[in-house]
Amino acid sequence: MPDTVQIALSPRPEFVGAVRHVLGALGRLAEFDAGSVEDLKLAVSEAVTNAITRGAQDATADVRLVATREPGAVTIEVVDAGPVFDPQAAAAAQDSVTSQEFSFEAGLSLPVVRGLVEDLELVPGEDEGLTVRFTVTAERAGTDAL
Amino acid sequence: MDLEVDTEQRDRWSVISLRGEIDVYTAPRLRQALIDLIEGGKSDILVDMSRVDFLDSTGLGVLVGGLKRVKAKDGSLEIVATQDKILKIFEITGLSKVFPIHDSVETAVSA
Repeated sequence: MPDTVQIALSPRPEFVGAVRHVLGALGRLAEFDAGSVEDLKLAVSEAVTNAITRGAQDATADVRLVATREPGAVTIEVVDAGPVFDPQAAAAAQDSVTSQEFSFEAGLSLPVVRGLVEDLELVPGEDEGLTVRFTVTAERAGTDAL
Repeated sequence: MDLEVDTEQRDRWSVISLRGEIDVYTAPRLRQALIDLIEGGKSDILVDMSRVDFLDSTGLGVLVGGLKRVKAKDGSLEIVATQDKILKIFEITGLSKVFPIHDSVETAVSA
């Protein structure tokens, strides 16, 4: 039997916090330690923020999130209907993380997710949209959450 | 899920004290507080995040924008943060090397 939470939200910034808190509760149900709950909340917040800001040209299509609870882990899939994904732009944003030029004020969401998880997948849709998929794993007992 | 923003002057520092969560919805309030200070002639700004429960890259982007603006006036923008969950995102993004981070407002003001 699937062990999932599924959310469809209008792409509104005020909903990002609501989704984050739902996933924080799911992390606690999955018996995550406090640090891993925070990792899950941050990764989900970034992925949903990315979906909402990418979809700015089409502010009506829902963002869909599926969270699957597994032993010691939660897998997240966020699907948006934004414009065709540009891998080069994403790579440029990744580079900017370590830039000293302060040339960014936005576009750091996916690089932050990449810094939190080991299996970030970005799957462009055929005509539009992007699927962002990753797994947040709970820290093993006794390890430093940071 | 809200963000309270208070500002006070401590010696040469304009201290922005934040309480709550900083994300794509609330970050514009921090951005406006920074802009108000800088346009009011302040260029040494200390952002106290010790009572911030959540910070994401949108909030970091606002801080970087503020840093650019104060640097243009030979000013500085420094951070007070103590919680691991807040410090972690500074580490992930490399911004812990860009912003001086203090463990209390008193430490920062007396530095």
